[in-house]
Amino acid sequence: MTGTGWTLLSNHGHVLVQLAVDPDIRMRDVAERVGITERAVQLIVAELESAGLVLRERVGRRNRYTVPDQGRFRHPEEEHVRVGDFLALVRAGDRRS
Amino acid sequence: MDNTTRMTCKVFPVTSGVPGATGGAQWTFLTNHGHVLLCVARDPGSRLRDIAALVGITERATQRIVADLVAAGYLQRIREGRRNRYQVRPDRPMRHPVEQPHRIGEVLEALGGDDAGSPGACR
Repeated sequence: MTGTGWTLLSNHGHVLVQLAVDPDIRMRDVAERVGITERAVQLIVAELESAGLVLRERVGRRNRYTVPDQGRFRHPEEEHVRVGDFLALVRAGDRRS
Repeated sequence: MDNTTRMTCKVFPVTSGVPGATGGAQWTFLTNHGHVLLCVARDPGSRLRDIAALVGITERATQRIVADLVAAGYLQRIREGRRNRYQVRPDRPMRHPVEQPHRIGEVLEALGGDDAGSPGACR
């Protein structure tokens, strides 16, 4: 560890993982787990939604989030990667832990 | 100062036409550390200059990131004549608590990092 706080996934990546693992999660809890503000989470979710990578449906007073499998990573070096394939791994790890 | 350090080749023109909530910022799911690691995983013999061009950052930034990845044990530096070769150590865990149950090798596999013939492979 170099002591700097770098990670391999961006905050967009972290947020997407949280929504995929727990579709009913509250923004407040996403913020806490990822380590950013609730406002930042809202902005990121809005961006994911407008890119079609996250679908939001209203359930009573709350939102439920779905991450469609066919979405793709955005950087040209990773655009062949399907979001679903990446998340399958994350979900498998979540069940294991 | 090496002139090549200022040679940034922007390869990330997001033309999706989907404006983001923050004004269409060019966000990605991986950080530059993630992009660099993936490039090295795909082509361990690739030059830092080429990785820099593919990721869209400076060569200097690429050097710093590779140093971070080596220091964290994700990459192993192997001297080969006048060049360095970098080998990924797939058994290392991911760093962020959210992804910690995962080893880096699994993640790279999901991202196609083990497949040198994949469409986005580093050249």
